[in-house]
Amino acid sequence: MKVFTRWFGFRFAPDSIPAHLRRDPLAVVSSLIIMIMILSAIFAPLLTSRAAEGLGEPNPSEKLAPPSAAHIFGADHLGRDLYARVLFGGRTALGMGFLIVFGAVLIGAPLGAIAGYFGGWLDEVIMRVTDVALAFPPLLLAIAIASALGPNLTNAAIAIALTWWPWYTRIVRAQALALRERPFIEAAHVIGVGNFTIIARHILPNVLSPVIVQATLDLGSAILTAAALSFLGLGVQPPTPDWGQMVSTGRIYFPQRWWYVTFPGTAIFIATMAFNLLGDSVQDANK
Amino acid sequence: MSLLEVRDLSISFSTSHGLFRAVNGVNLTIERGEIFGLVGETGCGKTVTGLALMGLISSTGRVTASRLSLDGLNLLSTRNWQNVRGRRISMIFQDPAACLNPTFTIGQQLSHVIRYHFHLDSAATHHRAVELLNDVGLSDAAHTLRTYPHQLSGGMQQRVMIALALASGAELLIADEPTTALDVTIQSQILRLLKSLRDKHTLTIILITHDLGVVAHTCDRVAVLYAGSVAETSSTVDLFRNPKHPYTQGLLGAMPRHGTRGKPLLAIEGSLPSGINPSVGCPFAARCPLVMKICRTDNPTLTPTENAHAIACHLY
Amino acid sequence: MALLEVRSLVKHYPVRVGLFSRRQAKAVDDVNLTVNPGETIGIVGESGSGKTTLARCILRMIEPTSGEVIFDGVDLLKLGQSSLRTKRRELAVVYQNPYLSLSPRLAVRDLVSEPLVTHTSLRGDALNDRVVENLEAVGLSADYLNKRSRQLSGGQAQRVAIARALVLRPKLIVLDEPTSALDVSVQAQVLNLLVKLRTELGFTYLFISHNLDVVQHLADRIAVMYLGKVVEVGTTDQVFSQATHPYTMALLAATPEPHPDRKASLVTVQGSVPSLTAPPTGCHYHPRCQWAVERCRHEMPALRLDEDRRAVRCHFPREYFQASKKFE
Repeated sequence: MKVFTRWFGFRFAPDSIPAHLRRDPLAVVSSLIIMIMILSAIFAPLLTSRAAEGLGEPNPSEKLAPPSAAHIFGADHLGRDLYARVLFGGRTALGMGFLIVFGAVLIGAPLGAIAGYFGGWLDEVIMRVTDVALAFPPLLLAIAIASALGPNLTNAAIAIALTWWPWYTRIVRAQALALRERPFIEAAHVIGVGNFTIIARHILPNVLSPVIVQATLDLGSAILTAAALSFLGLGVQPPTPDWGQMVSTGRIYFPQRWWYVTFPGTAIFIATMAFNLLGDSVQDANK
Repeated sequence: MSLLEVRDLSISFSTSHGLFRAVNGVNLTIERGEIFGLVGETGCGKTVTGLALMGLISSTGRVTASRLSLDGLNLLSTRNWQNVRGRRISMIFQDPAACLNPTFTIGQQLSHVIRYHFHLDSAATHHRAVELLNDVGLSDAAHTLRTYPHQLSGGMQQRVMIALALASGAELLIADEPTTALDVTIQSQILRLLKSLRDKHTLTIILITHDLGVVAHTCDRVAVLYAGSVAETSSTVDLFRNPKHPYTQGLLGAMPRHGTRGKPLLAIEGSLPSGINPSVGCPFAARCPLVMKICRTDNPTLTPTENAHAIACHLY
Repeated sequence: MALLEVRSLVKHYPVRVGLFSRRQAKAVDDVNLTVNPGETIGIVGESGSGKTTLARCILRMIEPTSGEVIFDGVDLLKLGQSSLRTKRRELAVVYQNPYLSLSPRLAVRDLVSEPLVTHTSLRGDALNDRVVENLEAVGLSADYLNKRSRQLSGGQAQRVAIARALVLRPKLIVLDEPTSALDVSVQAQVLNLLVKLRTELGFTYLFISHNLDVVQHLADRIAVMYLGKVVEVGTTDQVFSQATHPYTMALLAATPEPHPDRKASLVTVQGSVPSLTAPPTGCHYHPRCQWAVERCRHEMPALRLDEDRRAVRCHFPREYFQASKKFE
């Protein structure tokens, strides 16, 4: 954050938003859920005595054990404690989510700012590329990219980020188009500030709010999409714990061993829901 | 009897930071047929006072007064503001373009008001509309009636607003910065129009403005507002010849005019006190060049002196 | 030598009228202007007079249609992008509304240091010291360094804008309605500050305003603009006490002075400013001029320079001035 601050010369503080959020019960609840999920992902080893199983070590004697005092979520087909798996799976899911959204913003926002600020042929080229990228169904495109790059965690994140950046380009471009006409941009011009410095210092900081709103909304879908990719076998590979991949494996044991899909599935559901609700509230607060 | 009497008018708004006191105990007496200036800088409470007289303070606001009467009618106990707004008191604002509906012609908007208030048939309504437009100096009335607001210049739009305000037969017109958005040459036309309406139609006008020049040219009497209270009130001539309150003196000294070149202007240092948790004592104390010990502890009341001149200052 | 010389500057905008036809709006039409070093020149006009367009052309924020802007011996309009950017350190602007002209997310420190970072190699403590020094010059202290513009009052924000403009000690500062958004008492503070800075640092100002009273307080000479053309130029005293163009006279008469004893002026002006896309024939002012005659309807008067270096764009300037004097 320090480097960021020094480089752009502004301090990151969308200060009006939190005050509104504090008054919105849905926002409070969803932030609370997200906080708990993040904390339990970070401190996962402290929350379970079976950390090794959570990271993938098999325990054949407990194969598909039902929920009990020893295994509150039951155990999977290799006898690993599902509670530990779900906890550690949160690390993958949240990590993927943030990675995807951050990557998409990193590609999309500067392109949008450039398109909106310069206009003309550069705008045309960038926007036509985004149109093409948006023409493909995102999951299909992600599947194609992931299978071309080879299935692993990073590649899956890259694949999904590559299908998502155009949304940020569009948002930022629309904002940049309006900002370009604002007097403070003209004032920077008259001082003789270069175009790219203007984009970095005067345009991008002012488009942060809508980008943050969109990013919050997207985090839920990012987790869901990452889970979908893993479900299809194109994402995270075993033994790394991942909710999508757990649901994928667990579904053959359903419904007799219902706990195998239910707990990771519920985790996906809660995470996606929480981020969506928070995103909605942030969007309302931002209006 | 005076047309409008306001005693101890206070208006406050509840905000997330606390109670915001916009107006603190304002007293005004407006005589029939006069142009009364309500002058002050941003945040002095002049617009809110105007809105309160129209019953237009939003639900987050609280209006209290010991007396608020229009020609004997007690506005404090008024439940049906519809019978007061337009019919008795009308209001025009700074930006006429924002007040006119862009999708209707001037004629449609004007006849709507006339018909709502007087139940005339269409011929009589049209006749009245033409008459009103002529009254406000729009000579080509037949053409103007068919135009849409955006086809008119800012000055003409403000004239139309005045016609609309008069259409309901109001006796009191509250004009809130009616010329601030206009060029000076157009401003002088509108001010001249307001004066002629007062003369010809015995209209009473409360002119809310920040511009002492406008007051000097247009108003008969004036009240200077500062931080939600009246600092000084008197006849216009007396106020300019003999300003007494340090704030009024400061305002007049701050205005550049022919002959001030090369001399420093008398700037009032500092800025307006906050309306939330105001300090005790005179609201102007912190910026006053003549501040005394008592000013920081006691809030002066509006005290009459000679010539119907009243000042809220411990010096007098 | 003049610091700034504007020669035959023209700015036309294509404006769509109807579905297929286009007309030229002559926002600035053949303007000539000279600004000497150390001088303050005021440009006065109502909306649509082209005063702001003129300033933006001089600063090359928009490309003029034709003409020359000789600044400090160089024609700004002929400069390429990179040499123009270097030249910009000699020019500065203060805009009407500081809340709009200061980047909302930047702190005062970053706003004031931006010109220094752009044009000098000053960094670190030296940069910080220079920023504080300039904030103090405009009457603000180092306490404001970390504030953002919306945390400041209008007057404070405008002071920051002025500090930003003067930090490089430019040769010319364009003041585009710098006090129009401010209350009278704050306006006085800002005007006093501008006078003080001019005395102490010898700035040259190009002061644009719709308010004659404000302009005369600062300006040595005044140019009055109407519908894209300069109609009268003279020293402030000439323009104020012996205006010769009927429009200047009307403008003076319409400016309400805070004094109730002033008698109503005999000079009046009817109607409003005509559209730039369809300016009146002949003298642009004739439809609103109470003394217009046949010749005014057909022939555009030239800007004539008289013996006192004052210029008037009117067919009968002296005669009307004398006539109106007689009435008073």
